[in-house]
Amino acid sequence: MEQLAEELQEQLDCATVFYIGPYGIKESIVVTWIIMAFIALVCFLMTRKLEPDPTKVSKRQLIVETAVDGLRNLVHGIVGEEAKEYGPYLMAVVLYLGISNIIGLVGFKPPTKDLNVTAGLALMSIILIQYAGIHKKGVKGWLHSFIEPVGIMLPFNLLELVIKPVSLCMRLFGNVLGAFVIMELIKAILPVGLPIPFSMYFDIFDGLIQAYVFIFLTGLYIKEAVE
Amino acid sequence: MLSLDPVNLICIIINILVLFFLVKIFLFKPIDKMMAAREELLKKQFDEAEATRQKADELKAAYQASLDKAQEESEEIIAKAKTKAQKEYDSIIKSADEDASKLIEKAQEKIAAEKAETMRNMKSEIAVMVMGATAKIMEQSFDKEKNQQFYDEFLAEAGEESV
Repeated sequence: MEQLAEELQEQLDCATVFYIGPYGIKESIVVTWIIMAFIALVCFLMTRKLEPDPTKVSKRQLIVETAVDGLRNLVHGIVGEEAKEYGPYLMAVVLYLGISNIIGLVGFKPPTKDLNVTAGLALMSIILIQYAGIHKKGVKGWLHSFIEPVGIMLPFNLLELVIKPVSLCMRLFGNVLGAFVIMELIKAILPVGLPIPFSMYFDIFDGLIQAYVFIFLTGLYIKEAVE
Repeated sequence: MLSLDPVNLICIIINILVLFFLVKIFLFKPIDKMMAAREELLKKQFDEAEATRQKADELKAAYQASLDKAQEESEEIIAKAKTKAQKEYDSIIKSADEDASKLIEKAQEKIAAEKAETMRNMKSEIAVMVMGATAKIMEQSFDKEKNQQFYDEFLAEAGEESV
């Protein structure tokens, strides 16, 4: 039992892979680079020689078109027509999170299991949300939105500035971490057969759902900010 | 596990931004470019189809017009032919009538002339016969019975001759 706890602890810790001067670069950053390279490569290969004539599209193009259309519908359905310009960022994030959350299946340590990653994403989300508000309403309108609907709401609205990113960050981190711990425990009970259905749920379904939830909430907050 | 490290945080933020631009350059840019090209292509095809349709409509109208004109012309020709035929018919009938009346006139004239000729011939024959008869009467004696016989003979002779 103690050995399991130690093993778990080791698995959960994000190792520092190398140092740049005095700064340690963690495993999650390196895995993120791998994911980035993978996404860029796939995008690059899938978008070679795109045919504009719809009667002559290749299977490869059909796949990429369907995927991009699906992603766009998903994201535009969340942020609405008014905040369409934030769609590409959300799509990039959902691609990254989707792959991050299920990359454990191929042996890498999911970057989302590192709090720095989810905190970074959440920080960017809250900055983007505030930027969207300022961009849409101007500085005055954005400041005024803190005392809406009534002045007494000011402290709560200010609190939201902190609560929103923290909840985004912790939800994603907690889900991935929890799923990982549960999977490790199940594997400790019976390593053969039993983990398969649980892995389906915790590694694949939950990972993708959390990726969706993250951009869903970010999109929703952006939509709220531009309204 | 639960430690925040500013360097890694910044690294992640940079990573996400880089990923965003990578996805934008390698996925959205070519897709959008293709979509724009597709839109243009479809618009071009649509315009072409529209132009073809318009041309077809024009041709149809032209054909319809020429068809109507031909119809009119044929009606006109038929009407002309009918009037011409009527005229010809009338003139033929008229000339036939004239010919017939001329023929009848001529025939009547001929008949009248023949009648007159016959009358003349008969008159001269009767005169000869009368002269003959007078001579015979002169030759024979006056006998009432013989005279009667003579008259009868004469009448019979005259009758035969006139038949």
